[in-house]
Amino acid sequence: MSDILIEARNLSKEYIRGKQEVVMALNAIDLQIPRAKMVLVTGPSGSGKSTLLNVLSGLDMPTEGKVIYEDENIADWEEERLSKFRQENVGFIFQNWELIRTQTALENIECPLYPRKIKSKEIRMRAISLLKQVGLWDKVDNYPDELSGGEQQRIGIARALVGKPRIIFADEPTGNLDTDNAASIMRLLKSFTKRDTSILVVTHNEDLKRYADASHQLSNGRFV
Amino acid sequence: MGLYKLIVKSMVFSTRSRRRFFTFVLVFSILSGATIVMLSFFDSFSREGMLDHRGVVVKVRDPFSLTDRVSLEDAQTDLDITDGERLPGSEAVIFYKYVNFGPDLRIFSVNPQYQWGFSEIKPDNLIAGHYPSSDREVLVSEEVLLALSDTQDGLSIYTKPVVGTTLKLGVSEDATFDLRISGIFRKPDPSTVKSDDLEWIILTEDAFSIVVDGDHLDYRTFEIYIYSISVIASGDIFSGAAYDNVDALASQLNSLDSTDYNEPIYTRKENKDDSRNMTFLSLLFGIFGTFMVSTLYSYLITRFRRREVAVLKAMGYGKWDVRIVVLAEILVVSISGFLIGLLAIQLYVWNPASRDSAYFYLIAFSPTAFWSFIAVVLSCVPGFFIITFRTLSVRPIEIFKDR
Ligand SMILES: Nc1ncnc2c1ncn2[C@@H]1O[C@H](COP(=O)(O)OP(=O)(O)O)[C@@H](O)[C@H]1O
Ligand SMILES: [Mg+2]
Repeated sequence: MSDILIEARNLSKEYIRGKQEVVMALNAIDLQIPRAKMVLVTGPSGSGKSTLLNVLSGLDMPTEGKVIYEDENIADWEEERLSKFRQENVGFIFQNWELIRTQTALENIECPLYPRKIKSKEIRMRAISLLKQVGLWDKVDNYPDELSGGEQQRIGIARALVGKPRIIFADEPTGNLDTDNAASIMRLLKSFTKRDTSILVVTHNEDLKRYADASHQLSNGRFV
Repeated sequence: MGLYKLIVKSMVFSTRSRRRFFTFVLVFSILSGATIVMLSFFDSFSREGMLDHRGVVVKVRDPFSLTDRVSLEDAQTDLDITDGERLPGSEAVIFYKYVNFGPDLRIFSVNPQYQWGFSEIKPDNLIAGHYPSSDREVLVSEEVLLALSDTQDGLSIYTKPVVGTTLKLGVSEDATFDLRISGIFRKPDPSTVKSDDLEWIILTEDAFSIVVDGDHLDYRTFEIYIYSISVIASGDIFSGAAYDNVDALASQLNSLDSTDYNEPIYTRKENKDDSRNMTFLSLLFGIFGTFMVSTLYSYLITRFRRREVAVLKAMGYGKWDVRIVVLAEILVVSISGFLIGLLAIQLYVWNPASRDSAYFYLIAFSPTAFWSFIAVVLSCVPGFFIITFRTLSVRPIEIFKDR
């Protein structure tokens, strides 16, 4: 069994902006994400971090290069297969948390599992256990609007984990949090690598490097 | 299993965006209420307003002056048509019997299935209570005076009838037939309908037989005994088939007896066309409105919930999973709106204060409600397509765009 979970090989992504201008959001990127490790990619705004995350998770297609997962290039996969891949193997954490406002904290955590063939009881048990692990047991019935930013992001983390993913992609997970909250979110994320979950965090915040097992710096779509 | 769970959860969640939910449920309930009301105008026989579109009454002049007890069944055989027969183009042939009892009173029989089969007792004229539905109930006209007589002093006290009180019919103390007054009835205006000065009481056919054939009333003293036949034309008003049938039946029945006693009671087609067209326009408005609102609403929710859809797609929700989540909202909202509209109309119909007659109509389980429901569901079809295509176009990478 290889130690590498997902690997980007010679990955490029071009966008056409306006009429003619071509933007190289990613330029021949090579990146390996090992199992059960936290990898950090830093870079200033517009350096291509979000693009990297989109392409690695199969949300967007690369212009060139491969994304290798279990010896297959997911860039070749059909839409339906990619959904299934994300459903079973991927969790997302977003800068703005993106919790669903009409669902309680508990329901937000359960949400990714609703379409899946998993018994409601099992879903509830998993969600409750995660809610305890992120320390929000007392907010079980609260709606996102009733939670602070830090609390919402904890729910976001629990939601990303409920499907027992092999990898979590986090885009600026601490972007809207103060330093204390950011530190505790990073520690919480790091703690989940002990359960064989890999984590890719992209951020403009260099300070987060100390939580990561490996870090790369992105500038104008290239690693430096 | 995953599908069932997703549908149920999505339906629950779609009620949680409260302001949007309640606003649109209200809009839908008004529109589907309008559709139900309009459709019910087309619901032929169940609406009193339709009565004079559809009835043909044929009175047979005094065919039986009974001198002895002849059963009602014997009497009927002298006619060409029999009770319950179906003439071509008719829904039913109904026989009514009445007897003039003394100089003041006329007793009618009414078939509980066709309570207002002849024009004189159409529901417009009911002012309280309801038609008799059992052989222990009686409908009386307003003018009926219940006499409390004290023969010794030669005094009589008269009282107006009240729903719920007991009416005793009989010629002597020990041969009375007790009937509960189920409704009060306004005699038709003699200037519009041929009427008389008698007091009317209206019984079910069973009660009529008991009273007239039994020992309760000695009809031999009065012995005027006349049949009336109502023929209900079939066909629906909207397509015009009912008009043709009324005309056809009227000419068919003309041969029965002299023209004096053959009165097709229906308003001329030309006069009805106007109201029919107005009703049809309103119905179109109701259906078109529901259609427009559900389409607009579908468009709006795909906008309101766009970011949510992007998140769900990123999480690995498939095309259909996402559609179900959004479609659940429009279905829940339109169906709740429909049910509330229906309930409101039913309560309105039931509320005695708002009723202009005692005519009772259970709309909730009527074909009207069914067809309105179908109309509401069909009106969601364009919305369904809008949702199907617009959720498809949402790309999950939108969430990663800096806002
Ligand atoms: N859909 C798009 N169309 C055109 N240009 C894009 C698009 N998405 C991103 N870009 C450009 O690609 C570059 C990288 O963007 P992004 O990956 O969002 O950077 P980061 O997340 O590091 O801020 C930027 O110059 C951005 O303007
Ligand atoms: Mg970004």
